[in-house]
Amino acid sequence: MKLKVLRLVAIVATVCSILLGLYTLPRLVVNSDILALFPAAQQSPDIDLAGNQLKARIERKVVFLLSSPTWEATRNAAPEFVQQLRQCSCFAAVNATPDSNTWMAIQQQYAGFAPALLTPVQREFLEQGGANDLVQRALRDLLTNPGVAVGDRLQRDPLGTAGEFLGQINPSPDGFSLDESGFIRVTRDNQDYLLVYAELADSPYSLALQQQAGAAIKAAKLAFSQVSGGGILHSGALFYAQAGTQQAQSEISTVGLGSMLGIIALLLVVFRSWGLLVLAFVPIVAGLALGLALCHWLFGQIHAVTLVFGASLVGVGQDYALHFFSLRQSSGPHWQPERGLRELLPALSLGVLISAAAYFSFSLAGFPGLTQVAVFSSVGLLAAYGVVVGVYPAILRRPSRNVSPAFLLTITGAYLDWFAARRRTCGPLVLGLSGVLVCAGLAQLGVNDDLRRMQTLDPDLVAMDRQLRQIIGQHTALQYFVVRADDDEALLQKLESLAIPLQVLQQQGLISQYQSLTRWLPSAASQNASRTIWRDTLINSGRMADFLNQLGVRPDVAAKLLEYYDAPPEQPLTLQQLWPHLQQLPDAPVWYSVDDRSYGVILLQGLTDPEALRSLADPDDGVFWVDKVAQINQLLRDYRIGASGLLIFAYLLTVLVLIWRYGWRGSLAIVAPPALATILTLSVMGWANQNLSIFNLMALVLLLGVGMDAALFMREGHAKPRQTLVAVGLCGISTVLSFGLLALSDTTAIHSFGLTLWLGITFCCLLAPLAMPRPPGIPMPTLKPAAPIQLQEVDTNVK
Amino acid sequence: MKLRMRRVLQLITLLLTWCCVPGVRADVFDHPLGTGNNVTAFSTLTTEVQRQERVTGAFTQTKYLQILDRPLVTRGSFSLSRANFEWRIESPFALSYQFAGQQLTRIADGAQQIVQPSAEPALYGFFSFFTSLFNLSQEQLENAFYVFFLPGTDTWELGLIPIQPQLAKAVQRLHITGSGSRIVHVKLTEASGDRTEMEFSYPDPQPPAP
Repeated sequence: MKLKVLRLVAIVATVCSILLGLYTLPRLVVNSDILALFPAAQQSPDIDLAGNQLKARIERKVVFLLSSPTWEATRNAAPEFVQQLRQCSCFAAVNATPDSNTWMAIQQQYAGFAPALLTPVQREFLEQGGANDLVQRALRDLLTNPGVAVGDRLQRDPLGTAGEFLGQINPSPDGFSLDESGFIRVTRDNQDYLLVYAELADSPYSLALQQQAGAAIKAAKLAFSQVSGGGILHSGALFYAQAGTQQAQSEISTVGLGSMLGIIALLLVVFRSWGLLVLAFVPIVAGLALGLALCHWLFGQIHAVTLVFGASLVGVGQDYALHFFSLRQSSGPHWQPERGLRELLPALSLGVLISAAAYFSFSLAGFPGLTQVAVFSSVGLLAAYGVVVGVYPAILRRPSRNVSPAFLLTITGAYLDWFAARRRTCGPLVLGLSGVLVCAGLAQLGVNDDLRRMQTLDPDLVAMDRQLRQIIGQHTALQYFVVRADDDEALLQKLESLAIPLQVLQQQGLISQYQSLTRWLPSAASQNASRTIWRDTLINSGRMADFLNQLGVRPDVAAKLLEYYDAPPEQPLTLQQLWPHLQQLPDAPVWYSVDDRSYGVILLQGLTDPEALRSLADPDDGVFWVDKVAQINQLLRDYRIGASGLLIFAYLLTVLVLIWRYGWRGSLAIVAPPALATILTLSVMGWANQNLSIFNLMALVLLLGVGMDAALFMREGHAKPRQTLVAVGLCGISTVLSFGLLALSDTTAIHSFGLTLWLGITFCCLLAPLAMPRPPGIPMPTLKPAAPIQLQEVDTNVK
Repeated sequence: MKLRMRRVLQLITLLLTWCCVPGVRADVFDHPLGTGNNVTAFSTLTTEVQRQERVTGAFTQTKYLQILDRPLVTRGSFSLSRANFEWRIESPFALSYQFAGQQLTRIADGAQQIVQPSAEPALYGFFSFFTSLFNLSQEQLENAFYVFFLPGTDTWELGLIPIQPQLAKAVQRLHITGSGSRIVHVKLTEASGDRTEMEFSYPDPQPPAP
């Protein structure tokens, strides 16, 4: 009765898992950013905030460049293009004209601060007696200015210094201009491009957003395609995310479909039952559904790598079903589900525990993305185990009407014979030669800890990105400085002191430009120094009065202006005043505060020599150099070495755990197939000039779990070695099919993982008979070829 | 009582002034492009203007600023082709501007300086606008302005009122007078009340009227 209730619970839980998975599926957020797999916090969390802010800003940006043979045609079609994009709620903003309101608001804040807002060059010029030249130049510019608002400029910025200050803050890149309708026009090699920039309303990794944005962009492109000879270039994380999702989806379907077809063929050949075929997929579906749902609720999003690995659960979760079906088939008419389950339970439970432990060892490695894989795989496997243990005995109560195909038993029998014979006759010479070959392979094994070599980006997108960057002429480096200070004023002063060496490096051509908060706002000390020079050289010297007189400014206005610029506001312009407006600009400087400390970021453009820039960093003085890619590469190296240790530790621990049931000799025998398979895989990789990365090591950790399953079943099922080897072989083939297909992935990381497991599991299955006990002096059981199933064997249970 | 009388007198004076100013009653701004026969005439004019490969001439620019007690007068010459606009000021200072490929360069004392649109938007806007004005494309003008046109026997008048709110904040209206395919006079009234007047003269013979 109790058993019946438990089985009912198992069935209900299985159905609930599948329903939960179906409910979660449309809500999934798939992240294809490979950086998301790795830990974010490497420096202190306050410094990492800069990276988070930059990432959030950059990843939501989308840029389009529209072009056609004539600027008029491009410009006339642009409003429709913009309108199509704006109709989608997936875009928070779409603009083809600069945000002049924000810019005007910032200029309003600067109004009246002309004497305080001198650039370092202007100040030096005045200090070195350039006041006369400055006045003459201003006079010339005002008297000859053909533009409008000259009266306004005369009052707001009489000497043109504030204009120069604004120019150095935001230098328009070469070839940029505004046309008379306000559109941003980029001219490069006699071709005009119209710049449209957009900001996404959500993360580009949201599947829903990708679909909406994809449709909106398609409609916008269609509208622009009416322009004869029209072309569109685009750039943004969105396009890489879309390509990543498509690749992941296509790979999931390839892996999933290949795996399913393989498994269907296997099941039909071996078990010859459509019912079992359907039943075989229940543990997998339940496992995938529960894994998806749990990852979604725990992490909020799911990484594409997790999804691809998750699809591979098909190969592993399948094993439990295959072992159950094999035992039922080999038991013939004597099949009793409870007894069969008892027979399977030790190997099944130990296998699931070791596999789950192997997956969870990923989390020990500390990679957030791999923690997801661990959760997904472990939960999936446990669910699959639950279905096999809880649901199968309730459904498969009657004995199987089919027997194992004779050819499989013949093959396994022949292989076991051959293996036993080789085991007996294998001399030290063969062993020594094999050892030398294996060691030579291992010696050739290289390493790869470079993140960029593990991510294969869509080449078309990369080419378009490069073309777009060449046209726009901006390329912000991935490396940057974070400057920390006790308050805003100290921060601005630190940024100012860094500007001096940065300008030297800029003159040397090591960077083309840099963006720093201090360009927008000089420190209070600097503002005061500027005011003093202004007053001394322009007001007290009478030059300003002469200047106004020469221009013919009405005496009453001149008196007011002199008074205004002689007695400027005593308080300097502060960050608090400027920031609310500044932060609305798409290319605003990065500034934030944590625990009353103030932080600013210096972004670099056209960086040619990161090492030269790095030397400016001084963490003791609060100047940090951040190089995310280098950090991650270092991490990959550390984790590769760490994972190697973890692997050896895991093998030792497994040996120790298994001793209580099998003794030390038995324990070593069980561990031998996966351990030797690991060494052989590494050696083959060495001969094939493959490089070892963290992903190969993760695959080897997984191999320990999967290979241990095979070894345990061989050990526990040694009384029926042919049938057990058929089951182990079936599991191996289905797993190889799944992981072998992972080797087809375009993502180098996944490819490495798949290839390693493909090789490892093949070797492990071939070496599985090593796990069987070999009583001294008793040869391995030999069987007649093509012998039909022997019912007597069914009763020989595991002792 | 005295105050009221003064107001009435002021009103009468204003009305008299209004009626006496020539051209006010036949204001170009009463003739939006698209009314009457001005579309055909304007189209003929733009075709004629665009046919000219290169226009050169002299200019006198007078700026009337409210804060100045005398106007600012600039004289010089200009040369315009499809790809290049040169504005050479001869007095009161020798200075020239060159606008080509959407880039504005200031040349003074033999030194060249690229003028960033963000640093001097009004100056940059002037050259961008005048390049399109001398090329006189209806489509281009209508993108940025409400266009008014009054064709005459020998002369014509063109009125422009900015559409873009940002431009409208600075420029109230432009009144352009031309003869044949040439622009003769431009009056630019700013939103602040300041105004700029430009007289153009051409050394070569007058092309046929549209």
